[in-house]
Amino acid sequence: MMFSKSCIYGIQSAIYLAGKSYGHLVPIRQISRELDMSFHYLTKILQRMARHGLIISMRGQKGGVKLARPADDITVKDLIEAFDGLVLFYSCVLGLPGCGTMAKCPLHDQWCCVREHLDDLFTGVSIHDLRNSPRLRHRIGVPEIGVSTDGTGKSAGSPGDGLPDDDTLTDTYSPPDKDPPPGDDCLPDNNPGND
Amino acid sequence: MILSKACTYGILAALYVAKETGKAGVFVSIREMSEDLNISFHFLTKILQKLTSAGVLKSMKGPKGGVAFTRDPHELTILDVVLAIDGREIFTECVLGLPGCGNEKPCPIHEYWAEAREELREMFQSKTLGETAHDVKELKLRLSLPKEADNL
Repeated sequence: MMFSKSCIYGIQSAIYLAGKSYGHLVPIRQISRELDMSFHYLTKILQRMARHGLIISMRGQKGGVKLARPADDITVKDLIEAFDGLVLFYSCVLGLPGCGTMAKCPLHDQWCCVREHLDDLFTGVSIHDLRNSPRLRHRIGVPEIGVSTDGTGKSAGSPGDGLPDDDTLTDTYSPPDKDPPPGDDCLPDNNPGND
Repeated sequence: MILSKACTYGILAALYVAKETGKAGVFVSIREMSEDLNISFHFLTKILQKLTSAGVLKSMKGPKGGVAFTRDPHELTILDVVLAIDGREIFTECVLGLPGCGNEKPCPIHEYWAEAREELREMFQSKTLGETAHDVKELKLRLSLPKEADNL
């Protein structure tokens, strides 16, 4: 995978929030349920997004999270930067120490060209674009994390209510074989929002 | 990162063997490679195992053992190493990990990404390991990682 699992889940959470009316607080538990992500893991992802100013979280009974700015003002690259940093856009593709400063690695010129294209690509696509792709609209949802996916499975933090029985959760996306690492990149600081 | 750490280390290792031997069948000591590249012996061994099971390298035990290319490194490309270690995933999966994205139901950036990953594939395929190792020598590039590198 080019991006960390946290990053991918962050992008999917942002797409989900972009589908809600702007400024409306969405309970974290609802996102966790609808995207089939464990509540705990999602909270860490959202914390990171909040720290990077991509979402705002509010505590309290009517609390939750919302995008910090309109979805067309949040690019895929913003999400990549928040989770994986921008190392992709400046590092040597071969990981050769010292490439680019003293001398170029054999792939340097070609790689510069490719990564510029990648940069344009991720800067040019906003969360709004992703949300509004008609092809995508009903397909957001990720495989459940670390919980059984048969009818009995509930997300880790999920209260009694079962998973919604609609097609947002019936994707054929096959997850990589392991649970996402709870994340060296997820820092449990303060808990944003307790819906 | 485009490639996993194991994969970039694998490329360094393959270039190291190509630089040291320049041809197929000449063995390089893994211990020496580990010391020269500053990659932990344990991690390096795991990476080399992937390259041997993919048929890029072969290994031999014993004091004069180590790993050697199965074919002339001028016939092998960086792509062979990438596929051996990271697999085809990067060239087949949706870059955003969106469920169900594919040629039939592409995500909004599917086509752009498909183009970019073709560029990537071409790039990895454009140079043989032999050529690249030669360039590395000519350009006096270091293959070794900094000492403090986190080798897992």
